[in-house]
This record gives sequence, structure tokens and C-alpha cells, in this order.
Amino acid sequence: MKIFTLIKKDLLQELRAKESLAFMFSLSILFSVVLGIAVNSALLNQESVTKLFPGLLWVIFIFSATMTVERSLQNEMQHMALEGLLLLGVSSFQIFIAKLVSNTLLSGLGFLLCTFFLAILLDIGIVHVAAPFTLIASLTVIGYSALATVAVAISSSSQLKSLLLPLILIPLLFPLFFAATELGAVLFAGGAFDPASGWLSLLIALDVLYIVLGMNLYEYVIKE
Amino acid sequence: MLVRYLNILSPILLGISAVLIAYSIYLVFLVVPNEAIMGPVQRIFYFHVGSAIAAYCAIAVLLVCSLAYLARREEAFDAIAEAAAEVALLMCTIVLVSGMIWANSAWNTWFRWEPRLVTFLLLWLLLLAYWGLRQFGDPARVAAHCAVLGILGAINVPIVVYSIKLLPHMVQLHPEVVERQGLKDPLFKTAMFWSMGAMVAFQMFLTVFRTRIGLLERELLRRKSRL
Repeated sequence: MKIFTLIKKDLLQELRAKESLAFMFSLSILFSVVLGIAVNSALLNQESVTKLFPGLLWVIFIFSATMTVERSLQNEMQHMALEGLLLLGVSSFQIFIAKLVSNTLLSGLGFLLCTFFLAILLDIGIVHVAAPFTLIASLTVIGYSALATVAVAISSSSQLKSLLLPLILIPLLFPLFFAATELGAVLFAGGAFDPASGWLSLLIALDVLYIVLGMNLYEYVIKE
Repeated sequence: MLVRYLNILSPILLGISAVLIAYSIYLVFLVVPNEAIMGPVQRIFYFHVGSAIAAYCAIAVLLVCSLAYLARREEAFDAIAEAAAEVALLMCTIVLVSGMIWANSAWNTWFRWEPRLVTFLLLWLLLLAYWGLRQFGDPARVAAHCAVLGILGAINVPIVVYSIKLLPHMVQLHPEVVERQGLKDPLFKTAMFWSMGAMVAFQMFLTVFRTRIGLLERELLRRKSRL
């Protein structure tokens, strides 16, 4: 019950202020245009652009989401709100799960925006691969959010905050990034989606591992 | 108390690693014959592999000490983890640089997207992130935060190794000497194991030496805060 209240609080806060959403919307467009210009200047044929699309998409997502998700713990860090939550009997496990869910929803929305803008700018058809790509994207966004939730809690107490977050988060994301890019590349290159693929198993295993690690380590990050 | 033990251990480990490194240099440059295909540049291999093993050992120390710090909250574990991470970063740098020198000579390119090369590049980035957190983290919480990042990073290591093996690559040029082909000349094998031992001993010395400095730094800060 406390978890749902915390999720509701985070989502309501975001819906009222709309800061992260507006920031993510702008960043998605900006990064898409920058990469669109780079791809266009390379004079690649459409087949090569289609193969590049998933990799570019994950690059845009990781950077725009990392710059946005940094704000997710900002309210709790001000006026000792986090200590207040812990004093009210909310466990660090519950805070982690609530943050994970709200970050996943926010990052998922950001991913949809990135996909939409980049697909339009690079003229990529995504409807024919929508179902398997949604599965890959959901698993990747969940794994990303689990790691980002812990990394944000680590970086938010530092003076550097937004500078430190990408430095510690992005290297941890490489296995997730490899799996998502490889699965996406096969899909967009016209290959059939293989549910028994090693990459898909890796993606699921990473999600489970990062969530379990996050649940166990979050306490040490926020209670210190 | 621990600093006293480290004061005794440091010169012993320095002596052992100096003897081992000197003997490995003697074996590698004066005893072992030139490799038939690659010639003298192959001699980099002995220190390249040794540094890789030493880096893995240092990362294992980082994982164990990070877990121990979270469980026991003892300053010594934090200092050892900090030292191990810095030494692992140094060893990964040696692996990358020596590998690139070898690659330029053997393959005519500084870098290829080979599984082994990418693995160490990513390990280097992970350790750089840990170092960044040590330098710029919140001083009051940096020990626990670094322990958490150390655990996340060290657990990511086998996943990075596994996931890179799954990546498509055209023709893998990096030799798998130990796993597959073996070392044909017994002298190659002797030199490799001595150089491996030398690099691991050197890593242990650096870890102990850096731990001692770390503990003294903490003591200095404590005394300064009392003034």
C-alpha cells in the first residue's frame, strides 16, 4: 500500500510540474536532430540507416533519460524529505520499488518520444516490428531504471550531481546496451525475432539481477 | 594497528615483486627465443597477460572488501577497496596500452572490436567511474556509495565478458593462447608463469602500499578535524 502511495506521489508531482516530461521531450528532439544530421551527412543508403536505427535510438535514450532521471530524487533530497519518509516507517525497499516503477514509466515515455522523433527523421517504418520491439524496449527500460534508481541516489548527494551520474551509470549499462542493440539490429535488418535468443535471455537475466541488487543495496545508499 | 602490519608487509612485498620482475625480465628478454611469426614484439605478451590476471585479482579484492565494508563498516575495508580499484585501473591501463602496441605491430591497427579488447576497455571505464565517484562523491557518504558501486561494477565484470563473447565479430584475431593453442615451447610457458606471478606480486605490493597511504590520509583528516 505504501509503495502505491509513493508511486502516486511521484507521478502526481511529475504531472503537476511537468518538468521532466518537458525536458525529456526537448532532449529527444534535440538528440534526434543532431544524430539525424550526422547520419544524413554520411550519405548512407536506407538499408544501412535502418540497421543503424536501434543503436542510435539507444544512444539518444540513454543520454536523454540519464539527464532527466537525475531529477527523480531531487524532492526527497530537499528539506530532509527522505529522512522523513524513513521515520514514517517506509522501508528503503519500498522507496526503491516506488522509484523503480516511476522511473520506468517516465523513461518508457521518454523512449516512446525518442523512437517517434528518430523514426520520422530517418524515415524508418516500425509498425511491422512493433510487438517484438516493444518487448525488447520494455525489458531494457526496466533494467535501465533499476540501475539508474541506485545511481541517482549515489550521485544526488554529491556536489557534482548531474555530472557524476552519467560517469557512474553509463559504464554499468554496457551489457544492457549490447543486448538491446543486437536484438534491435536483427529485428530491423529483417531477421525473425527469436524468443530463444541468447541476447533475450541475457536481457531478462540482467533485469532480474539489477532489480535484486538494487533492492538489497538501496538501503546502504540512502540510509548512510 | 593495521598500518603497522602494512609497514612491515610493504617492503617484503616490494622485495618479492622486484625479484620476480627482475627474473621475468631476464627470462623474457634473454632466455626465451623469438616467436616464429610475430618476432620480438611477442615479448609484450608476457607482461600483457600478467597485467590482465593482476587486474582480475584486484577486482576480486575490490568486490570482497566492498561487501565486507557494507557488512562490518570498518574503515580498513574501505581503504583496501579504494586501493584495489586504483591498482585495477592501473593494470587495465597497462593491458590496454600494451595490447594496442601489440595490435599495431601484429594487426596493423591500434584497436579492433575484438571481444578481449572491448572487455578491457569497458572494465577500464567501470573503474574510471569508481575513481570518479571517489574523487567527486559526497565525502560523508563516499565510502558506502563506493562500496555499492564496487559491488555493482565487479558483478558486471563476468556479464561484460559473457556479453562481449555473444557480440558478432568477423574473424577473431586475438590469440587464445592459454585456453586453446597452448604454448608450444616449454620456455614460453615458464616465462609466462613467472611474469604472471611477478605482475600479481606487484599488484599486491601496490594494493598494500596504497592501503597504507589511504589509512594514513584518514587518520590525518581525523586529527585535523579535532584541531
